[in-house]
Amino acid sequence: MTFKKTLLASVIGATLTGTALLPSIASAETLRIGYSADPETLDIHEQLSGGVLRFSHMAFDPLVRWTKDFEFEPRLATEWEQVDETTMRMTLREGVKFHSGNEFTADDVVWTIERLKKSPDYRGIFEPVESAEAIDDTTVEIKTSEPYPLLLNIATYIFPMDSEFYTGETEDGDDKGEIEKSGDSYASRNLSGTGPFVITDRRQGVRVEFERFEDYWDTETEGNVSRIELTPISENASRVAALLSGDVDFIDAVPPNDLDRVRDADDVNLVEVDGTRIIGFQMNEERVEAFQDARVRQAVDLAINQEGIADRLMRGFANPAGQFSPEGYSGHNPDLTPRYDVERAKELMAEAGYEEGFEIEMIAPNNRYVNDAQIAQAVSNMLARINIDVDLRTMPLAQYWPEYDERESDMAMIGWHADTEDTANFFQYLSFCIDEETGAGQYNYGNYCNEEIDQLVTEADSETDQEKRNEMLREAEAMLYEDVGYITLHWQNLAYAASEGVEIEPVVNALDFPYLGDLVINREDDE
Amino acid sequence: MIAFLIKRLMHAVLVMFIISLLAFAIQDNLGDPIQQMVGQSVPESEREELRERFGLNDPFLVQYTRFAKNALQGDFGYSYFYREPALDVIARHLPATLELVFASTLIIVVFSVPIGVYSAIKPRSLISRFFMGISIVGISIPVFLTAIVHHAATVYPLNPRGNDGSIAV
Repeated sequence: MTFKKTLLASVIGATLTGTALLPSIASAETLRIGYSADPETLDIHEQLSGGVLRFSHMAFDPLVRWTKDFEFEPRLATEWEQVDETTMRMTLREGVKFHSGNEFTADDVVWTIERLKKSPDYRGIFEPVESAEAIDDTTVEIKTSEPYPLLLNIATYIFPMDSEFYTGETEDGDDKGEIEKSGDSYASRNLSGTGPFVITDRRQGVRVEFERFEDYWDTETEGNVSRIELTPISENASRVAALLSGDVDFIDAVPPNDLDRVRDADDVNLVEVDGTRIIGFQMNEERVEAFQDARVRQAVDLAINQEGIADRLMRGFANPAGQFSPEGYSGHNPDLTPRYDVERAKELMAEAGYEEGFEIEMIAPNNRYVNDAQIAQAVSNMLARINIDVDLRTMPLAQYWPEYDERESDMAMIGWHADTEDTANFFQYLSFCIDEETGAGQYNYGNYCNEEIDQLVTEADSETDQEKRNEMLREAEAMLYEDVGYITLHWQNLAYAASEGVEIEPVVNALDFPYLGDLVINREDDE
Repeated sequence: MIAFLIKRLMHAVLVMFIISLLAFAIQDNLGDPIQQMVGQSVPESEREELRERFGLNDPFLVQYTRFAKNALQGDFGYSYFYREPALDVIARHLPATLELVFASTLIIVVFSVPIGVYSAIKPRSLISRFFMGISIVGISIPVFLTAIVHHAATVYPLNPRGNDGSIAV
C-alpha cells in the first residue's frame, strides 16, 4: 500500500470514527468515568488495590457489602447465622447467573474461598478461615480455626468467581485458575462474574469499556447505567479539568486545592465523604531514648494542633483524630478527642528532664497522602515550640517505603486504612510489639511495645459477643491514647464529583468503592 | 562508505550499551517493584518470596548479564504493566512510528531538499528569503507547541476521541 493511500484511509477513518461515536456520547445511560487508576488486572485475587476492588464491585458481587453506615447489606448471601462458635452458615441467593451463563452455586463460593487462601495478597486476611463446605446448592458453611468475630467483615472480600469458567487448562496447558502475580494468566485476561457489568474492551492504562450484564440478578435496583467508559487520569489537575470541560461525567479523588473550584462550578456536584484512613506519626524508640518516656510522647502529642491542621492546612477536608478508629468502627471511643496544650507539653518535657529539648530527624512522603509534606512541615514547626528541633526530609513514595522499612529515622509519617474496616487491624499493624514470626507490628516504625494493649486486642479478636468485643476495643483505644503509642492527626476525607444528573451521592461510601450498579443518571436533556 | 557505516554502527552499539547500563543502574531509585505489586498489608515473607522469584535479590552484575543475554537474543523481558512480552508492546506501536518516519522523510525529499538546493543557488531571491524566514520560525517554536496547535487545528476536529496511536485508524 502506498503512503498516499494510507493517508487517505486515515483521514476517512478518522472522520468515520469521529462521527460514528459522537451520538453515543449523548446517549443517556452512558457513564464516562475519570478515575485516578484503572484495574491493574482482571484477576480480582491477584492484587489487593483500590483499582481492583472497585472493579470487583463492577464485574462481581460480594457475599455481603458495606452500607454507608458500616452495616452489612446482603448481596449474594441473603442470610447468615452462627451455627457454633467457629461455624457460620450462609444462605445464598437463588437464580443468579454468571456472565458465562453458568448458574451460581455454593460450589463457586467454596472454590473462591480456597483460591483466596492461595493469593499472596489475600492469604493474610483469610488466615482465620479454615475451610468452607457446600451443604447444598444454596447453603455454604464457613469454618474458622478459632472463634472469629470478623467473618462478615472479610466476607465483603468474597466475590464468588465462576468456578466452572476458571477450571481446566488453557491451550498452552496452563491452569485457568492459577494466580500469577503480574503475569499473563488466564484469569488476568478473562472474566466471568455475577456483577452488573461485563467488559467489552480494555487497554491497560488507556481505557476500559463496560456494558450492563443482561441477565444481572438484581432487577430491583434503580441503577440505569447501561454503558461505562473508564479512562484512568492519574494527574489531579487533568482529572478535574476533564470533568469541568465535560469530557467525563464522574471523577474520584478531587484534590483539596480544587474543592472550591469544583463546588462553585455550574452543572457539577461535589460529594465529600468522611474517610476512614488515619494519618499520623510514629516515634522511633529504638533511636531516640527520650521517646521511651511516655511523658515525652504525651508532650509531642500535646504540642501538635490537630484541629488547626484539619481546619487550615486541609481546609476542612479531614476530621481531627485522637484515636485510630473513625466513627462507625467497632472500637470508636467518643471520649478520645485530640489534645492540644503547649504549656502542659512544656511542663511534661521538663518533668522528663528534656527542658532543653533535643534534635530529631523526621521523614514523610510527598505524594502519598493529601498534603503530606505540608503536614509534616507544620508538625515540625509545632514541635519546635517544645524545643524539639526537627530535620525534616520529604520524598516521593517510590523512595519513601524502602526508607520507611529501614527504620533509620526518628519520626515517620504513615497513614493506615484497615482492610477489615475494624479497629483491631490498626493495632495489629501499627502498634503491636514487633514479632517477625507472626508479622505483628509490621508497620510499627517506632518499635513501640505495650503488651497489655496487645493482649486486650488479641482477646477481643476471638470474642464473638460484639458488645463485649467493642467495649474491649474502646478500652484499648483509651490505653493507647493515654500511652501515646501513635500520634494521630486526622482521618482524610474522600471527594468525588460528577456532572449534574449523575446521582453519585447514594452510591459512594467511605470505602472508596462506588456501587455503580445502583447509580442513577437523570439527565435533563433526556428524550 | 562501508567503513563509515560500520563506524556508525559501532557507535550505536556503544551508546546502547551505556544507556542500558545506566537505565539498569538507576532503576533501584525508582522504588521497590514488589512494593507496588502487592497490597500494604502483605507480610514480609510473601514479599521476600516474590523478590526471590523475580531474581531481584541477585547482585547487580548477575541481573544485568541476565538481561543483556536475553536482549541479545531478542528477548526484552516482560512488561508487568501490559502483561505481555516487551517486544510485543514495541511491535504494536512500531507501525505508527514507521508511518511518522516515512511521512517526514517524504516531506523532506519532496519539499525540503529542493527548496534547500534552490536557496543555496539563489540565496538572495525573494522565494529563498521567504522559505528561510519560515524555517527560522519553525526552528524557534518548540516542537511540543507546534504539535499541540497542529493537533487542535487538524486532528482533533476530525477525531476528538483519539485512536490507537496509529495515524491510520
